[in-house]
Amino acid sequence: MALRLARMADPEPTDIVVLVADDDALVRSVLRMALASRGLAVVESSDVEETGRAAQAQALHLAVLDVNMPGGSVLDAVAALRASHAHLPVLVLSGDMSAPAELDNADYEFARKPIELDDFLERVERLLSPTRNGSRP
Amino acid sequence: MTSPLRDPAVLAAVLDSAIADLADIAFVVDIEGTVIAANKTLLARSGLSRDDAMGQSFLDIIHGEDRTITSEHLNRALQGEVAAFRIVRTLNEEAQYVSDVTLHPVRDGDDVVAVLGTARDVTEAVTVARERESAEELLQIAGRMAGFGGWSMDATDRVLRLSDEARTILAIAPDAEIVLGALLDAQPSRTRDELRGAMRECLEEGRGFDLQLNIVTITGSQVVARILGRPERDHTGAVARALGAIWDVTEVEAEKAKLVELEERLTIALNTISDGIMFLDRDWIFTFANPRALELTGKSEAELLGKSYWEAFPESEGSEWEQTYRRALETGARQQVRSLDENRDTWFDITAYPTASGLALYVRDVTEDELTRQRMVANQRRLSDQARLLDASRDSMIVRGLDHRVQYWNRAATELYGWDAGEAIGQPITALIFDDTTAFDNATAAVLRDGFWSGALEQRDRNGRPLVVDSRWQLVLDESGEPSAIFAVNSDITEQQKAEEARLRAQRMESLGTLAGGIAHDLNNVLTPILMSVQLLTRRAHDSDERQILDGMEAAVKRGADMIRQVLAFARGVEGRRIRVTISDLLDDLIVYARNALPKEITVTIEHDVADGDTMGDPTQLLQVLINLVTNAKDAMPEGGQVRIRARRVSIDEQYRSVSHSASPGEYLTIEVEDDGFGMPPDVVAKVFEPFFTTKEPGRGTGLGLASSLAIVRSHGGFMQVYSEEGNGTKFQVALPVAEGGEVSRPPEIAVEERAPRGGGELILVVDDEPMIVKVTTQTLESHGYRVVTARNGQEAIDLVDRGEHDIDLVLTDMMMPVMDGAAASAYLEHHHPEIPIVAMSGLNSHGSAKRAVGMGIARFLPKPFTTSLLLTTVAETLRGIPLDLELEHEL
Repeated sequence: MALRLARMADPEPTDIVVLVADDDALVRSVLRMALASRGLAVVESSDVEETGRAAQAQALHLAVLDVNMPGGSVLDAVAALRASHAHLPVLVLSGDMSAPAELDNADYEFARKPIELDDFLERVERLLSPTRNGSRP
Repeated sequence: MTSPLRDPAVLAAVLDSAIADLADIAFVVDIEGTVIAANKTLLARSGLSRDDAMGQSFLDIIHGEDRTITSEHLNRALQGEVAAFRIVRTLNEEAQYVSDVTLHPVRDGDDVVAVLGTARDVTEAVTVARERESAEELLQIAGRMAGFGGWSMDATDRVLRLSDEARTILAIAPDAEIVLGALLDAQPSRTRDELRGAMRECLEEGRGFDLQLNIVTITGSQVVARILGRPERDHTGAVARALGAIWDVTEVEAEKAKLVELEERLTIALNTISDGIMFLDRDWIFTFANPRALELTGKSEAELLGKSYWEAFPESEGSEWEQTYRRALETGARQQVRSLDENRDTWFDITAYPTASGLALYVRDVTEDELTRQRMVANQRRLSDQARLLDASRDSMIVRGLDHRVQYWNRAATELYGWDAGEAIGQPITALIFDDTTAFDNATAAVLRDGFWSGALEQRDRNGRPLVVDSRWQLVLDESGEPSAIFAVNSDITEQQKAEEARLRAQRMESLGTLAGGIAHDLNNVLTPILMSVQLLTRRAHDSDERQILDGMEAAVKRGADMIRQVLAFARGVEGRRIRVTISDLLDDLIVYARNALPKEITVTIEHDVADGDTMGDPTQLLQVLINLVTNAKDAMPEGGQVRIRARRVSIDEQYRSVSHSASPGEYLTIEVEDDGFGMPPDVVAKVFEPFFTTKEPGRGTGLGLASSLAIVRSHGGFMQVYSEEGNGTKFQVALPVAEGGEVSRPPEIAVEERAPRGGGELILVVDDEPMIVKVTTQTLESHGYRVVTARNGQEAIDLVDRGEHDIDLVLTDMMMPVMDGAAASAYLEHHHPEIPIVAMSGLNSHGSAKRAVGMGIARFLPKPFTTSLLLTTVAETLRGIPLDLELEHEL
């Protein structure tokens, strides 16, 4: 199903990589499909530790983080990402009403789950726009 | 032989010497009547010398008045008789000279040779005798007048002689013969014996007597007579007779007897009465004291009688007693005094009666009485103290008999139940304060069995208000140990119980919130891939049937997401703006909604005494809360009714905090929305704020409306309350904290700028026939970044637009105007200039007209009068193309 959707999207592949970090595999696969429809490469992680490792393993241009993941807080996850990518744009998705308080001073974008496809893609595009315009972080 | 006495010279010498020393006048005359001898007394009395007298004719030397009688008797003496006579000569008017003269013949043999005369002056004796006679006569007169009689009895013949008055007393006629024997025989034996004895002693032994006897007169009447007797002796000293007086003392005696009897009776009375009597004369001397008085004062008669008050009672000088007596004497009015005699440790009640001679003191020992009285006073004081304590108690105290009728009802009971003691006493307690007597009957059985019972009871007050009391019952036993009454102490715990229920409810809400929040979070995660997948599919769907199915799925997912959002709002609170919100503006917006959204069967009244109170908050969220309440009110009144909206400013104190939903003490603005719909039963009221609790039929409500409202209000630092009566209506109260500092001077422009979006130079056409409204509206718009042109009616507006001189961005038009009204103008503009949005203003506010107006190509409806914020919001939103959504979320 996921493969079929990806094929249906028929994107033009890019070398821009987005990390999707969520402990819910279903959510990860849907987000991957949505991102793939825009020709973005997706790597996945399902907990904080894995997220950190993924960031160290490769260059990333955007991280979409679930607010609740095993292995640490969202702040831990952001820290793990920024350890290797100091200026990585981060989109935090939360099933809750509001942004987590511990991220008050962090530089990130917040969106509520469930998020509409258009809204999600618009935010992703906006966060990636400096990258697309060539000014890599 | 011749006697020598024949010689006249010898005779004269002899006689002269014989008479010389006689005290009486003495003289001798010869047969010729010539004085031949005269003694010194004669010479002294007559003033003659011896030589003058001698040889003179006797008749010549005596007083001329006496010569005739003297000559007569001298001749008798010369003839041998002794002649005695009395000369009475009046000397002057008062005095007499009386002289007894005796002429003795001096014989020589048978011949009278001379006459010897003596004269005794008896003037004095005669006067005394006459005076005596006169005195006796006076005595007789006095005796007659005074009832005195005289009597006498001769010692020898024992004949009784009586004066006239004595006869009168003894009823013996003046001329009747006095028969002593008969008189004595008539007397009672005692009288007779006494009389005989006294008379005999008097006559034989010379002893006087003084008797008072009951005498029977010869006519048989009774007389009390006093008889005095004394002996009279002759020259030998023997008693010659007895004499004395007799007088009638019958009346005196009767009077005296009466007095005696009276006195005796009085004395007996005074001596036998159980209270003390003392007499005090005007000199404050005690003249009488009865035995009881002596006993009370502790004095003997000797210590009291004849003694002055101060002698008898030196300790009482200046005392209250003395002052009282003095007052009685001075005023002549009865005085009473009750006081403690500390020396005798006795309470005396003394009444002082003024009398002719002083004071009569009536003394009573009232110690027992006084102690009883003091005990009663103390008792009453104790009882009233206890009653005061009972009344002061905040717990209601009720005593009822075993028949359950109220016997005692304290003040707190009056305050708690509304019945005062007068109304409650005598009434069955069950009828007064119990609805359901099951618990009462069980408690009664327990207290009769165990003597004590305690527990919570449901009661009601006079107005039927339900009460919960913590009740302690004690069985009251009478003197014989039998149950006689039940004493109940009731503490009102209605409020505490409400508070406890509120606390439990709040706890329950919190638990629910935590639970719901957790589930909601997970549900959002569940919905996320669904929503996104549906939307990804939709992009690729070319078949309209497929698209329709996917649209349905998307709508369902979004509805689920929205519910979850509300649950989360309830559980986690809501975020929103925090700007200054004026309650009256909020209410203006609410009334706009209400008038448009409510059917005409429902009337809305609004009142607010909030003096431009502000709160900090999100106006949209707050309006949503109020709209939710108004919608609930509407739903509670399907047949129509009245919605009352009221804003007030209240102070919440610490005590209040416990009974509400976590309200902090402080100043609040409250908005009440009250309907007269069908109301809710208490069990529904208790859960009304809980999420997923709904009274609506399945599918009509999510049960999140009030939970969300509460979440919003709480996120503003406020609280909500509900009061409902089944069948009468429901009242919701929203309380929001007062924004500090903004009440007095709030610059309206700044506040409006905060909330209302400014324009960006857009040109607004304002159409109204009222210059004032045009002016105010124009100023408001221009001061917020708009440009304005105006028209006075629909025709002018159309002309202005048609001319094309102005690039008009929005038309703001009144609906009721002369020449061409708003509806007609709108219809024209809709047709010829559809790109220009139209906002209609109208004083008409019925639901139908608003709907109709909106339907005629009018983008928005602005009811008059409108607030600045509403105007600016409406204009801004219309310019941005935000559609009007009357159906805000307001489900219960």
